[in-house]
Amino acid sequence: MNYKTIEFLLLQLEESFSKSRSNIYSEVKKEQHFRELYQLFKSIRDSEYRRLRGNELYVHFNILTYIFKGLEYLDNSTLNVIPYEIVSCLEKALSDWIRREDFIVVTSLSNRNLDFYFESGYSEEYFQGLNKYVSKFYGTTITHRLIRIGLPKVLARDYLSCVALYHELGHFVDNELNISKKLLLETYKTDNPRKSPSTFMYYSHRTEYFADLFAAQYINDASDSFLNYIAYDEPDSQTHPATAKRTKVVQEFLSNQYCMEKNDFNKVLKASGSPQLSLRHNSIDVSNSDFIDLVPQNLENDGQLHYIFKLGWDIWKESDDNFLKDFKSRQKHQIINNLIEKSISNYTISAQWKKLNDGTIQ
Amino acid sequence: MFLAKSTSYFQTQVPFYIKVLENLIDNKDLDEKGGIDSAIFEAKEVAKGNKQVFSIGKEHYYFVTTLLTRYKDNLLDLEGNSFDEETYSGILEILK
Repeated sequence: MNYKTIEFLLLQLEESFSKSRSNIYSEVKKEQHFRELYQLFKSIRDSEYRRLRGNELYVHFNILTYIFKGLEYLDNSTLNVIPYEIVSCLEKALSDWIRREDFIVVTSLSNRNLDFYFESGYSEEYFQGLNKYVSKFYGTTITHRLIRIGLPKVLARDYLSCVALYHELGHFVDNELNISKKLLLETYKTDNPRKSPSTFMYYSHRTEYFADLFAAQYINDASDSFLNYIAYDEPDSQTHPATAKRTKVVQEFLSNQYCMEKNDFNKVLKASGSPQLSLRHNSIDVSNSDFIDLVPQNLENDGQLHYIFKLGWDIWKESDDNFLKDFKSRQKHQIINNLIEKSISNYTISAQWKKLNDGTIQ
Repeated sequence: MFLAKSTSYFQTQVPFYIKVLENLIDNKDLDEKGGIDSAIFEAKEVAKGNKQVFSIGKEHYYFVTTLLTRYKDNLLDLEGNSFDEETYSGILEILK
């Protein structure tokens, strides 16, 4: 690598920034993040980067890649693109685990169907290293970290499918707290999942079980319902446990039976001083649900907010026999999605309104 | 892939650690000596069995676990909580 690589990236970034300049974001934190990335880019562009050598080139390649990734996700998280309702649910779940003020949930919309993912790579350790470096050499810092979640463009407002995002948020929390990595280190005495096929499989399966249990805390078995639609009877693979095993672990957790995976994760969480995996939702009885009257559910607390996805799935699964039976399939799907979306937005807007009246926010 | 995830195993923080260690070895910038020494000390405590793997902090997680898996014998010989250029040079070698 030489300075021409850095120059090339800087030119690409110049182009990206010029396209993103007119973006309008739904929150101040995103605007601030955009400005800080631009400031950092400008400082490097205006520096004597042609003199960079050795490790300094890798550091700068790394920083410019970080800026690129940030821009990509910000571009897909503008006011009229971001799936606001689901993100607001994820942010509430997130606040049980980490300081929400330090993070921004951003999304990248994929053209591939069922392409749900969490993109890792920038841990707190990386973020601290980056900030110490850029503060020293460029006199600037980045305030917030991004939680980068990808989802298919066509499913961004399909709330039955969006349950997968709770699972993806679980991957973020696992990665942030190094839970599966610590189990790998303790069990195989290695920090490298790719050391052998068995370490890779062990590590990958821990991450999936953690993400499944994380999601089940909030949305009960709604994630399993979706999983059984898209991966019915899938056997074990290197990256994922068999669907039947995943469902069994979630059922053990939900029914408060002995669950080895949950116990292992909770041992790590306890030693790390983090919250434990536990049920964090409040059930809504389908037969008394407001959905039966085709109106949004009146949600009383965050526990019910998360449960709305489970309610939606239960109604969808019985929709050939319940109050939706006389509607066409497409209408059933649309009605459930609309009711979930309106229930969430009513709840979040009411909460904001209450805070404004209480004077909690200005 | 169903409920897929994309996890990067590329250790993006390495170049920053290399820079810090090079500065410590050259005596150019000692601002981060405290942080690096405390991470080496944490790794030493885990290696000697005085601290659990599960309670390793997240601030220097990659650095600490790299030392535990690739520098363990040296950790067992270390004393105290402030380290010298020889230790930093040994660690730099395994990071490069």
